[in-house]
Amino acid sequence: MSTVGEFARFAWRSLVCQFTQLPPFETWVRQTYQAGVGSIALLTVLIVFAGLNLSVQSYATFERFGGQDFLGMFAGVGGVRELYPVMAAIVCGARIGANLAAALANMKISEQVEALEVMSVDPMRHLVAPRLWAVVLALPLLCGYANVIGIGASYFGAVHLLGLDAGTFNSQIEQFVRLQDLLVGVGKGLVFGWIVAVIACFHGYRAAKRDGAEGVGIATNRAIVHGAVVCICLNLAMSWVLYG
Amino acid sequence: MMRGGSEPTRASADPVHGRAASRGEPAAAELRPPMAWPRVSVATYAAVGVMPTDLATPRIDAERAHSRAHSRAHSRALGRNRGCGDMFCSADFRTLRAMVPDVPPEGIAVELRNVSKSFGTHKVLDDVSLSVKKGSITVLLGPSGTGKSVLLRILVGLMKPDAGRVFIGSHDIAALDERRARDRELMFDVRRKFGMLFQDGALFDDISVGDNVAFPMRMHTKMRDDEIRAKVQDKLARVGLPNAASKFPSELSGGMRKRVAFARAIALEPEIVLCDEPSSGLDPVMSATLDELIMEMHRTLGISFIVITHDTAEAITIADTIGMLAKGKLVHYGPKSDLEHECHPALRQFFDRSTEGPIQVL
Repeated sequence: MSTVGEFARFAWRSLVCQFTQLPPFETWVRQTYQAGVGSIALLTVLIVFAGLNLSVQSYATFERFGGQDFLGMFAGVGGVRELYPVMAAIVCGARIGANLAAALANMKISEQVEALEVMSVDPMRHLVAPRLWAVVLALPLLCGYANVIGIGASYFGAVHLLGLDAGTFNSQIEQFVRLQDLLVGVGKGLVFGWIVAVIACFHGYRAAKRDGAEGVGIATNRAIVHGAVVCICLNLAMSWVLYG
Repeated sequence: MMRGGSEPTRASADPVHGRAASRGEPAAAELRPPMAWPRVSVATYAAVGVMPTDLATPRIDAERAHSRAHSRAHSRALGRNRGCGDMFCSADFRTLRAMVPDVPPEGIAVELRNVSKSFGTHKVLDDVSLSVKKGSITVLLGPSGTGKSVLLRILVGLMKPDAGRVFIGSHDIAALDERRARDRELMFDVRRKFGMLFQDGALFDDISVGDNVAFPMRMHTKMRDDEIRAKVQDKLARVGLPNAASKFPSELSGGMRKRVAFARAIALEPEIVLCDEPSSGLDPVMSATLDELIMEMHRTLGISFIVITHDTAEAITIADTIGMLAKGKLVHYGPKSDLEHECHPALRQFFDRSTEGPIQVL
């Protein structure tokens, strides 16, 4: 319980630091670039395969009762609302979170964080807040990108691999996937991005000099696992509230 | 020290809004015991470095309402040694500062009082008290694991002692709670007096040597970039690395990293520089070079140094004051010249590099 309390205090301070003093523009751009652009290739590959898989699986299911025409609806709504944002959050979150946790843990262990404190520089403002901003900006963009790529992959699978009519697929998408759904996906990216980044920074920041190199590994591991679990749980809660 | 004992005199009872202060400087006898604690607001005590928890039964009733209304103005004013701006308020802040009995005198940069620190059942520091004069070089010797680094961390507020008080100037930083925003700001203000050379340098890996040295200037001054570059070049030249600005810390040897860290520690020419084993891992020539640097900075910039080391030769070369920590106790602390008259057996053993004595490794 004390860890939960510690995390709550850390998250609150992070939020306060984020909004009381914005990081310098170049820091912002550099961190966002590192968090976002580095994840694009990985995300593209995963989402393309996930989109194709969604088409193949749903086609096989709908075919049993002659409902193949609903594939566009299922692939569109299920993908945009749930699958793609969660995949983006987990995959990119794990990658970004691991980077954040490892970098901060390494700085803690090599006394760089203490050096900042002795120089009267608040590490929360200098190290944590810019990273949170970067992930909060990058992950919604990545979720939006994942939605577009995912629908494209589903279209390719349905029309070119499974022989579904392109017009039917498109009309289903137009009919059932609303702008609101796309925005919810992006909004989920924002929430997931913040929570993944806070969890990663928390674990990185908790590392101590006595933990040595092992401390970096432990922090990274916890950042990935806890980030993924919290994202999955949060996704259910958000879907429940929004669509339940 | 009497706390809440006899009724205070008129002068001592009324230091902030009192009539005595407005009539001129009270006599020293009036300012010191047998008076009780001066009747001022708790916030005012806090502002001069005495935390309210230590005020056992201060007589603050009569002036409480007025003091509370002005406590913020007083707090700011105390920092500047000026009045609070209220035309009816006749507080003399220097007098008040002198009257608060617990604040170290002017010439003391750092004072530890009865500081103890334990990790689990292991008592690392046991009732350590010492004062470091402004402009001195104080060397603390001691075997490994006797709490020398812990002591340095306590001095800059990176660790809190379990008991005792840590005065930096007039502020008791041991009483600050960094979870509170106001205390955190105060802690950061206090830390600006310090530069610190960490044992492993603690240079920022992802920026160049020049940016490392420039970092405190960029954070705390409004200097132009060309001015900062000139200062960085000056500091790097002082530590014998005039061409290292564009290199990254990973490209440097251990000794060079330490010298860059030293350049960063003195970048803002702080009042006090703490050095955590500056000579460890360095060859004798490099150690001597760093010693000379410390003495030069002390001579030219008047910086106070607190150096912890195992190296007795270094201690004899640079120190004005030598202390010895053994088994968590400060067993010796005094001017270097005192060593000629008296020398604790642990310190003697250290200087003699002997296995015979109170310090037992095996």
